[in-house]
Amino acid sequence: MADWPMPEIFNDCVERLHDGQPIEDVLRQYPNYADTLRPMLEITRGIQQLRVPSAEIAESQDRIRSEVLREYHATPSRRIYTLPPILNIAAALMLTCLCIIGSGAGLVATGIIDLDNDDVQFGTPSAQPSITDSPTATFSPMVSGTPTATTTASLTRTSTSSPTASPSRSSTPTATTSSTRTLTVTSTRTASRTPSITSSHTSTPHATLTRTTTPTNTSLIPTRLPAGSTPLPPQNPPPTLDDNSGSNNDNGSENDNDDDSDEGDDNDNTNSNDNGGGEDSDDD
Amino acid sequence: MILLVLPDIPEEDALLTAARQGQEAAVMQIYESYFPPIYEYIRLRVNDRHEAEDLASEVFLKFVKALRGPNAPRHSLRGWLFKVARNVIATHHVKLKQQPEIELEEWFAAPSDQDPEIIFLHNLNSQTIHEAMRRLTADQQEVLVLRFGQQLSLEETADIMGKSIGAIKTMQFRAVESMRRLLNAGRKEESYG
Repeated sequence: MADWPMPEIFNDCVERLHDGQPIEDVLRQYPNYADTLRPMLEITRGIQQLRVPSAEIAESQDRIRSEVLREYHATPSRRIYTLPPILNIAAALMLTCLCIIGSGAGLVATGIIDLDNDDVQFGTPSAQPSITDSPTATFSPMVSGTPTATTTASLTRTSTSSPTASPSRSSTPTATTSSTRTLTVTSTRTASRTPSITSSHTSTPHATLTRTTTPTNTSLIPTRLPAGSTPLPPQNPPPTLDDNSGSNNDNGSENDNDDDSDEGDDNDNTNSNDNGGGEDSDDD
Repeated sequence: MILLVLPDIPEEDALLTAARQGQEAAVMQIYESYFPPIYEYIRLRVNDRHEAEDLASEVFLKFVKALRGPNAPRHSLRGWLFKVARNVIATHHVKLKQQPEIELEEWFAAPSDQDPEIIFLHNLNSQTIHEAMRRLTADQQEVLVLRFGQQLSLEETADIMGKSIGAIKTMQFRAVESMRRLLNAGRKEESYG
């Protein structure tokens, strides 16, 4: 303790004085510093002796007491009510249920969940198909099997070559086809597992069907093919692209080409009706 | 020597809880217990007795109001009250734009029946001690009042003053050392004069 800095030593002495030790006993702990510490401790004791006259305190206290009482009664008393733990849990459960029910009702009300349809649509109801010109692909229909988008693309396919669809691991089938026309795709609805077709005007003989997934619902995108698996051959002829693409209409009804991605049967999608959408995607 | 009875913390917390639950008796018990030290603390820092009374009143009115609000103290009631008092004093000094002055004649050593010699010694020196204190900085005066006048702990003093415990240790040491120098200088002047 003797090696402590002076503020520490002094504080220790003060604490001992607070505990009721006499100054002489305290100074005995630090004989080397006794000469320095003694006057300082005397000063602290002198400060401790300073007091306001008790009569003054009592007078002020009496005067202020009525003010405090008046203030206390001026506003209604606030009581603290606490629920027993079991009621807390019950209340929490009730709130949770209400939130779930409320959010579900909201989803139905906003049309995100269609109770009449087996398909669950996620995401915003307006998905815009992106038309991209790829330098290599003549026609790259972009099947966006995104669970977030429910876009109906009606497209007229006039392809001359037999497609070879090679779905990639991320359930992105690649279809090679030769198309001569431009495809216009219009989506009016949110498309989940509905293709958004991207076409370009070049005449490269393969179109790539790409499944695009929006990042919001990535957790819902099924993994179609394991790594290294061979793509399934297309079972149907590739889509023929038409300019007029009455496509733009996709009034949602037709969408549901959901299955596309998965099993290479994407091609059917055009005509919308989920070709057993159930089977496709999910089982993988 | 004066021994201050420090509050029993669990009892203080129980009292505070009762006050927060709206028990008038608890509120008034807090008032009766804490008014003297709070008033004394304010009185030491404020020049005028009536101003000190107003400020003490403000502290307890704030306390009663706070009991009904979200900022009600939950622990360390004494520290909370001293902190409010400190803020009230600071605001008062800002308004006056002057350093606090102490009317020395209104202060005297507390009576003690323990040691007549000590009574004599401190009666003799109380004015001198106050003169020396008045020359200290506001922070130094405050740390002396809180630590030695009110015998608050280091932790409480640090919390009230918004400083670290180490800073309080250093500050109290320097404050007492400054007082010692001032008192010695005064003594020399007296002996020469």
